[in-house]
Amino acid sequence: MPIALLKLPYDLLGEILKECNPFELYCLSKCSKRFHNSIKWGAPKDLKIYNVDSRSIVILGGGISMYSFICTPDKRSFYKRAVWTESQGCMHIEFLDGIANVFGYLIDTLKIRNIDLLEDNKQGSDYIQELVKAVIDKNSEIQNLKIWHNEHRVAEEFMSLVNQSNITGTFTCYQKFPADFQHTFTRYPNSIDLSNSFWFTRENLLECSCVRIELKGSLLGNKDLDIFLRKWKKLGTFPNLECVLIESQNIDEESPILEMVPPIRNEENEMQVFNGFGVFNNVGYMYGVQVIKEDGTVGWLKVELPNLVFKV
Amino acid sequence: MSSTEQGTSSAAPAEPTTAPESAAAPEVPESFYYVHGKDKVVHKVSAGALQHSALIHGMISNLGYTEEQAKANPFPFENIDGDILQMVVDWCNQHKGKPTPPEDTNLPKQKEKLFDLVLAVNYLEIKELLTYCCKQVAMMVKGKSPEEIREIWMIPTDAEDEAAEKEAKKRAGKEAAGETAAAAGDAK
Repeated sequence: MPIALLKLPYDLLGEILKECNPFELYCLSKCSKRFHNSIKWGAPKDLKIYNVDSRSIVILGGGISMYSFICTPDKRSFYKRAVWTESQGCMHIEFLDGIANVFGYLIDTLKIRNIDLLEDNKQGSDYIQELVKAVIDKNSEIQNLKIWHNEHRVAEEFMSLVNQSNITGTFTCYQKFPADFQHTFTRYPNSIDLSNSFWFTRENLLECSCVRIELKGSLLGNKDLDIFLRKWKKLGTFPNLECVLIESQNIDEESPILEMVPPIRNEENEMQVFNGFGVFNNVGYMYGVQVIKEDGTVGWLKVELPNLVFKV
Repeated sequence: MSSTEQGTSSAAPAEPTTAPESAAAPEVPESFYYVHGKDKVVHKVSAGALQHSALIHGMISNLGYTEEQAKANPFPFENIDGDILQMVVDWCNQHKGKPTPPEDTNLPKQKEKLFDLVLAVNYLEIKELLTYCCKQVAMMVKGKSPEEIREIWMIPTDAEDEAAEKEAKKRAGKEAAGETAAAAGDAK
């Protein structure tokens, strides 16, 4: 027995749409342009989205609900669902004009404001750039952005997009940049985790407003780090900073950092710190030397070639 | 609990049955109210059961009707079909003083009545029943393709929407032209 849904009052239609999962909402949006607009009005508010690779997109609902949209070229499989658990499953759809187009459509239709993770795979086309553009177009926030090296990527172009996007969590970058690459962040994410970070200069570090800074393959030397830590000690500087992890071949045992020549370590100060990412996975315990800021905040510094760890 | 007066609104409702009470508790007489739908069939419902409806609860909370006054002044819900109101009253009675379980099996299952039931429940502001009804409506399209959904929920295609819009514009144009002509006639 059919029901004339569009004859219901708008608020009631909204109540019904709230009971629909993202698969149903997607199918509904394909019914007609008019109904597509109704979905935008009534879609649930707490959805998150991320891409797995260039052929699948996942939407997270409340709790553990997980809905995977998987690309298929086979028309007979369109809209076919497979249920994995009560709240997890997949639906096959057409990725017309590529993943970025579908991603943008889902963000727009389901009013998703929280992009949980954008990540490219290690090989393949540089679709992540198109995804970031789609997110910028929709004015959504990216919680975490992770890019692997892609030799086809135009680094300057991509990093310019990073500056335009609103990354609220961590920007993880494994991209290898050309030797003359330069970049200045115009807005910083909460955390940065940069491999091949030779281009991240002292000036960048002094202006960085991140909570957590992780630099691998850095060219920063003792003098740069000394200047940075002296600035940190001053009142009102780096109000967000909690952790700095730097791996640099230019850290040496010749010149001082805060009047201490590396290695800088205090065996008496055993302090468990959280695991870092990548090469800092094994930080484990920190035998740091106390560094005190003018406002009394205490930081812990450990320098052992080629690494510097500073934790507030 | 409650009884339904088949026939007219003037028919006398049956006497309410009283719930067993503990010996220690003082006897508090339960108050009853009367409602009728489009078919004028009067339903006698206890104030406790009516608490599910925010609309009716708001209406009766300050009335202080005596039994006679309540009987003489049934609440008219002319926009609700009699059988739908019956379903709602039954549900309210079944859930009097009880929270609704997440999966309520005591609910009307008739799909053909669902549209009217949703409207009625929304109007009467019965939150739990509305949530259930909305779930039932949403269930209708579970696992369906856009084409199937279009049929189930009677969603017009883009072409049909465009044709309807054109038609509406044409009609509006004709009406406007008619009004202009009438105004010109009046001026003469």
